[in-house]
Amino acid sequence: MVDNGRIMKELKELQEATKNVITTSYQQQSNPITLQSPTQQVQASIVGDNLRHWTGTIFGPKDTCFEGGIFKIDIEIPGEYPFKPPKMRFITKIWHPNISSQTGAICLDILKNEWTPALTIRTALISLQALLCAPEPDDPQDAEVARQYKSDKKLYEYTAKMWTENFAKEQTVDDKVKKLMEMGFPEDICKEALERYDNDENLALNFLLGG
Amino acid sequence: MQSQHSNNYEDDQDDYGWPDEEDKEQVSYHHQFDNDEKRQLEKVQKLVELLGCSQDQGIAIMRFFKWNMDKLQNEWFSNERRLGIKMGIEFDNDLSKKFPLTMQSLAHNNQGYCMICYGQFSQKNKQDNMSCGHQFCQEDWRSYLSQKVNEGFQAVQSKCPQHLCNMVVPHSYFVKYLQKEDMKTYMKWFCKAYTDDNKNVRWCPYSGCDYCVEYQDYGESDVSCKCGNSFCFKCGSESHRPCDCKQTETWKNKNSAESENITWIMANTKQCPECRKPIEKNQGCNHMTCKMCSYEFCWLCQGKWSEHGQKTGGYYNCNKYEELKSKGDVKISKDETSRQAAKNELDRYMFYFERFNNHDKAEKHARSLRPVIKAKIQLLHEIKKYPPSELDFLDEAINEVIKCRQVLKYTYVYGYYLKNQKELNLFQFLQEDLEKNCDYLHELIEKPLDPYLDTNIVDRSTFYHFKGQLINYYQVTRKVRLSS
Ligand SMILES: [Zn+2]
Ligand SMILES: [Zn+2]
Ligand SMILES: [Zn+2]
Repeated sequence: MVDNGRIMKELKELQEATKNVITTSYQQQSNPITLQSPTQQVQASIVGDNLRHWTGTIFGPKDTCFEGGIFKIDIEIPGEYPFKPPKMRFITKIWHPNISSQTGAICLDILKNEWTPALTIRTALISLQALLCAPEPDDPQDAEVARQYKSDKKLYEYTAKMWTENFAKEQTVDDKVKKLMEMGFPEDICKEALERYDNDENLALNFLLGG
Repeated sequence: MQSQHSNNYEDDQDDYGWPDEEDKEQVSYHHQFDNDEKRQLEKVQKLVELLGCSQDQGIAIMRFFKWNMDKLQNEWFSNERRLGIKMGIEFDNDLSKKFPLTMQSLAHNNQGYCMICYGQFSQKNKQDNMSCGHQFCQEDWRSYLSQKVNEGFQAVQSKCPQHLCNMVVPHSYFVKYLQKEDMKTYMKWFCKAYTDDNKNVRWCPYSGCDYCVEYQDYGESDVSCKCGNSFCFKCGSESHRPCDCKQTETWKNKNSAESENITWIMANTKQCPECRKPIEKNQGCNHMTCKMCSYEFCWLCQGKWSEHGQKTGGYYNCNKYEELKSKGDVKISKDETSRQAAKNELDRYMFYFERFNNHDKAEKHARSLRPVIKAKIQLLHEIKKYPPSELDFLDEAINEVIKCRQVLKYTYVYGYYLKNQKELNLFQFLQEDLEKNCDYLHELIEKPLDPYLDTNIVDRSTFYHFKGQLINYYQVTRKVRLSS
């Protein structure tokens, strides 16, 4: 059985990739022409100190309904890894025929019977990203989404975009302020509360409600 | 008839003491858990010599063609490359290009690393690669194959651990890397890959038997299994002589299907003229009262009972039926005729089925007697010191009873479908003869053997008399059985 050595190496590889994303994002601002599309990148980090529990991040691919979205993936690495595939599930809600809109469960062959030990968490995440580009409604995980995809593509695209907007996008401070104001709090108090809680919307709201 | 026989099994057969006329058709046996790698590899060797390929390739090719040499020779030579890719002995370059990600793997960037554990190859961490060139360390090969083997039979089709590599893991790799229990499991799958796919091999249908029989020509013929039971090689079910496979299947379907119930309902019931629910007539009286709607009517004419009386010739002597019939009411007489025909057909079927069933039960009973006889043979040998060769007849006798019952069972199926009266007469004569002798034999073998175990009786003549009788009967039944 493979010990944690391989997992450590995989993590290191991914973290190096993350660094690259940060530098490319930085470059993106200063020099948009040499942009190395950050959407090609995937990231992962461990949850707590459990080497077998990770959170992956994939960026919604360009020119898809998921563009601009940041999707978090829960990754569990079984004891038999890499001879058995990692267990992956979307944490971020997503509207896609091959991903359950309820549980985030994924239908992807390489996460099931097509898995081989030469694949890695990183290649699996990249495959997931590819799945966002090319849904396979004939092999659905979510029957309702698949039905919509096949019968009313426009509505599907609208819903998928809405979900990306609502669930997969980091909101700006202004968005958060606006949201709190909609609940009936004055603008300056909202700003203050957000500032106080490091822009955490929930904590700020708690504070506002608690008085 | 060409048949296959291997030497090590011939010896076994003598030990078993169960040779019989049918066994002259040479067959060979494999046990489910026999390590009969050798038999397969002998066949593969012939192919290796023919094609000049490796043994591993030979196994893959044979499996692909399901061990059918004719098919192999027809298809292989014209399509070597395409088929080679399909069966995983030729690398599929196009497929591997479909997923360039594998090329981006960490290990690939660093040649000399195992693509599973990411460890560097060294003297201690040795590498091994198949002809596709994908490299893995030996420890990971072992883990990979062990996991595959424990996942099930599909292990024999395992592919190279590299993603989208079509190359099948050769037999020699399993042999090289697997240990102890894993190896045992693999050999089970290895044998299964041979026996399950091979048209010349069939598993014995009797429960508790782990043998399969290999037989070169699968005509309509019975084969004897090593367990002592015989079965039909063509359809794989119990022996069904003198019926052919199709008749047997028809009969079985007839017995199990609902169609007989329909026939039965037709023969025994009519619908209530009022509510249309089936009504069963189980008494002689024609006055029917529907249990569902309480409608009273006449069984014969289905007319309202209250309209019956003196006018119609009396309540219990309805003449309306006769009347209508004489007037030529086609509908009713037609109904009645088909009802009568169905009743006759049912009677006829029941006649044959009862006898079939009777012999079936007797056969099962004889089977349950077999272990008892075996135990008695052991005791006769231990207590009375009879040599085993002098006791074989008991075993043969009980097996003969089973075989007779089996044949008799199916003579009733045969008779049921036999329409030619002349033939039927002759057939029934033989059937009766076998039945009579089989009954004698069955009765004899059922008698307790305990008197022959009494140590106070030194005289062995009664035992030899008994033996003579038994042998006499089973020789008769065997002759009759095999002539029918
Ligand atoms: Zn390979
Ligand atoms: Zn058997
Ligand atoms: Zn048959």
